[in-house]
Amino acid sequence: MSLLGAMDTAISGLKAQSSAFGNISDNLANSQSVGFKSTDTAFIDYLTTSTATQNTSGAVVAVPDYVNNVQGTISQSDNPMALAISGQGFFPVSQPAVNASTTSATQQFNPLQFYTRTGDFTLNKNGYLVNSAGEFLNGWPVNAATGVVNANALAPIRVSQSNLAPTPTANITLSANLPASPSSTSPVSSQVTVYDGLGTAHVIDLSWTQNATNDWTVAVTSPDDVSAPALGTADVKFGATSGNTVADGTVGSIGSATGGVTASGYNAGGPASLSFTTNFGQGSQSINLNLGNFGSSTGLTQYAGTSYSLGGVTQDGVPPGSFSSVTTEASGNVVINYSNGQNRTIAQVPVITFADPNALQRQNGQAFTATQASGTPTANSAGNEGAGTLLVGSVEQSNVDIATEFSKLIVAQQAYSSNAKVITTGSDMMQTTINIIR
Amino acid sequence: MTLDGVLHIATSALADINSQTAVISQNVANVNTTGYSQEVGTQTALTAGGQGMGVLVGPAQRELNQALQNQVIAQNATVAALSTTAASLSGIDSVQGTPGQANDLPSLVGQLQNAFTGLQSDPSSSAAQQTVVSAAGSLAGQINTLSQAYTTARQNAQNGVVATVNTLNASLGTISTLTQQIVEAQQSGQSTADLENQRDAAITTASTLVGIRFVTQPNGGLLGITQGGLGLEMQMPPPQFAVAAATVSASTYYPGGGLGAITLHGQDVTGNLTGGRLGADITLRDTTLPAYQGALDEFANTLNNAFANQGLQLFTPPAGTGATASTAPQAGYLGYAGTIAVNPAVTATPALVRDGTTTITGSATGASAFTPNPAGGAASFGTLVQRVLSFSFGSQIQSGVAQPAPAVTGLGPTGSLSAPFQPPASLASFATDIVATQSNDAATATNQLTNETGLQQALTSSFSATSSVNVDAEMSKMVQLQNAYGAIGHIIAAVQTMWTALLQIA
Repeated sequence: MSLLGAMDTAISGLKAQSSAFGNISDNLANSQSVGFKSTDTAFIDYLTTSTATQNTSGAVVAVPDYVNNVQGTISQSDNPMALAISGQGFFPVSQPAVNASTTSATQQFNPLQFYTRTGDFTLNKNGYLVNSAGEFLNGWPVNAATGVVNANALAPIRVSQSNLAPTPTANITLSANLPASPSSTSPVSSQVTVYDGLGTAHVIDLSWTQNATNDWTVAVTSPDDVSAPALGTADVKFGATSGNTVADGTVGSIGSATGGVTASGYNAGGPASLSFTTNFGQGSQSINLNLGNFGSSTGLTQYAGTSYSLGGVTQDGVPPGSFSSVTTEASGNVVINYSNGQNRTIAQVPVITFADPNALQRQNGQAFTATQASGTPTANSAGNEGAGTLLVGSVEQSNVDIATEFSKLIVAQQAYSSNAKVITTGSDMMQTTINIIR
Repeated sequence: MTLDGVLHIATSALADINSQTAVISQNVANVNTTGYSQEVGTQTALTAGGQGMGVLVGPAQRELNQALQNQVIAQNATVAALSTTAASLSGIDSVQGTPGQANDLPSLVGQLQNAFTGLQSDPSSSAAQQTVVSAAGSLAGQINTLSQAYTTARQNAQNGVVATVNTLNASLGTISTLTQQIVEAQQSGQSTADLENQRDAAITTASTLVGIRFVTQPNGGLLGITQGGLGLEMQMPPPQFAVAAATVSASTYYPGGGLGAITLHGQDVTGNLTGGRLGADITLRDTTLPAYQGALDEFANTLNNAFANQGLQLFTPPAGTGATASTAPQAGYLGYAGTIAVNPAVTATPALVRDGTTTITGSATGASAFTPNPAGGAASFGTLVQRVLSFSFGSQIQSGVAQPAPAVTGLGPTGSLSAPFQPPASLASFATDIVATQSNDAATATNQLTNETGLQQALTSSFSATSSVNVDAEMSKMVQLQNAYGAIGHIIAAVQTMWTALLQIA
């Protein structure tokens, strides 16, 4: 048992408490940092001699105790692109390369993958989603043509503000009731707006004339067709008149197609459609007119009535659209909205989980990197396989509890004072020892 | 839960109360706004990591009964159509004169008959001859007045079509613009309630113009469907109709007769636009009023023939011009009602009403033979007056032979219109039929308007009961919010006290 040993122990106590004090200070300083995870302090006892008959003072060491898996408070944000994770997981983010040019439009990235819960993302001038710590949100790219998510690639999400290319109309779906006993013999007509390859709107006129009971002829006219407006006709027969066993008033056969019109053959319950080819000056464009199914009452019907009644007419062409806004959804989808009402999903933000998130390596900007101890990152879509769910328009605040930190602060202060007292007492005792020899 | 966390929850509550108060304020401010449906704020409790995290403020939504709203919109079109029809027909009804007041068509026919009866007692009396000419003049004048009234009403209908199409285009433009904004707001998760309220106001306007209903599309867009089966996509650029202004006359008609079609993208869609003011004006212009005009032309022609057949050209004959579909039965005297006048020769020489103007060759199926009294002939010549009284005003052209039946079908410039009565046997019953059916039409339209307006009011008040702003309820909500605000204030104050205590400890 040595007096100096005891004093050394007290000094290690001072060191440990100042280390704890440093952590408390760090936590309090970051109590308002979005996505910040606090660091607690754990104290570890080191022995010198400890037997049944003898115990000498050892030392104490303060080690940080990371609580990266403790949820911070979620608060609603005015930023519609802000994201917060409720539950476990992190956003995958990239940090810019150290020597990256700040003026170049092509952003260079640090190849190291970072993870964060700081979700206050905004769109930067190059179209990247960047949080307040300057980290670039990564996501799974979505194939623009097929809409399929590629969950094997993770790359910074870049929003293109280019226009949406027009889609020429390929299908028209008509839902209407032709009058079984029309009030006049003049044809009833229906106009459909369709789009050509340039996104220019044109009109297709469908004119229905009753030949006999349950027997109608539709004439397809395309006034803007560069060659001839009249595209052809087809006979649509309903119910028993068609010769096929279908319910009364439903389409039973489409035939006698003339001109450029081709009709689908009868197939019980199959789609009743006719197609025609028109040319608005952008080459020939084949359009399929869907009249529902044979024997079904969902599309074109001919029930009692004296006037034509339109239930709905839709077509799949799209006029060109300009970039209007970008939104993030609770599924993690990043969606670009266009002025024509269309939207396109460009990426999906996964939520990354770790076996031991508390073992992650802390990095600047409330970010983390994977370590051996943390386990390998597992990417899942939000809410799946234990990954947290996403809250749109919200951010996760720091998980620091100031009251707790204050109580720890008091304890640290008292412990520090106690250790200091041990040293001064030790010093007094040493003085006493020295004073023995006069 | 940390003190900070408590403050965040309190802050989210304050934000929610603020947004709900804004909604209440907006509701109360729009208590008298037409077409405004009350809005309610939406809230969801927020939990994260199994802990309560306060409240999430959602976009404001509208409270309304969509099915009832659709009925109100449909009823608006019905009432607007009847109101247009009733206004037009009651204008014509007032020109018909009052039965028994001697200024209506049957009375004037009766007066002409009386004048001839007076002449019969003293054929030589120049005063009696003058009375006949004057009575004929009054009758012709009333026919002209009626014809003029039809033409004016038809012109008004045509002007109405042009004006309504312009208003409709403006409405469709507004609806399309708002729809676009709604689609964009929906995409970014903002509240669309105010925009939808604005759009409903525009839809209400459009619904009085033409029979149209609106269906929301899967992509948030809107499809307008007219009663005539025309689908209009409410997107930019908005669908715009076109129609040319025109001057109407008895011989102009649609289609192809000088009155232009209403077109959309260059296609004639007139037949697809029914209901509402536009539909009513089109019906008045193309069916109702031309049928009236046709019946009156037929009457004028029958009147002229009735006298001419017996040897007296009392009125100027039809000019025989007027553009018509060549097969129309009325070709040759279309618009005659507007020009019929007393024969100037008769006006100059009133004695002709005693003597006759034309030699008639007898026919087994037509009038019997007649030779006019030559100039300077017998002053007591009574043959013509007798023929007029017996046959012109009667149901026979000569004894045992019926008058040729006036046409009641195939009327008008297109020959496709008809009058709603059987071919009348005599002039008097023809005049009565015309006045009676037209008065009846006007009365029916007015009655229907009264009934449908009643239904409209019932529907509107029923719709308002669910959708319009209830100030009492809003105020009670306000009190609740105030209480909640106070409670949250206490929580914040308590947290503040705790902080102070905490800081004093440290």
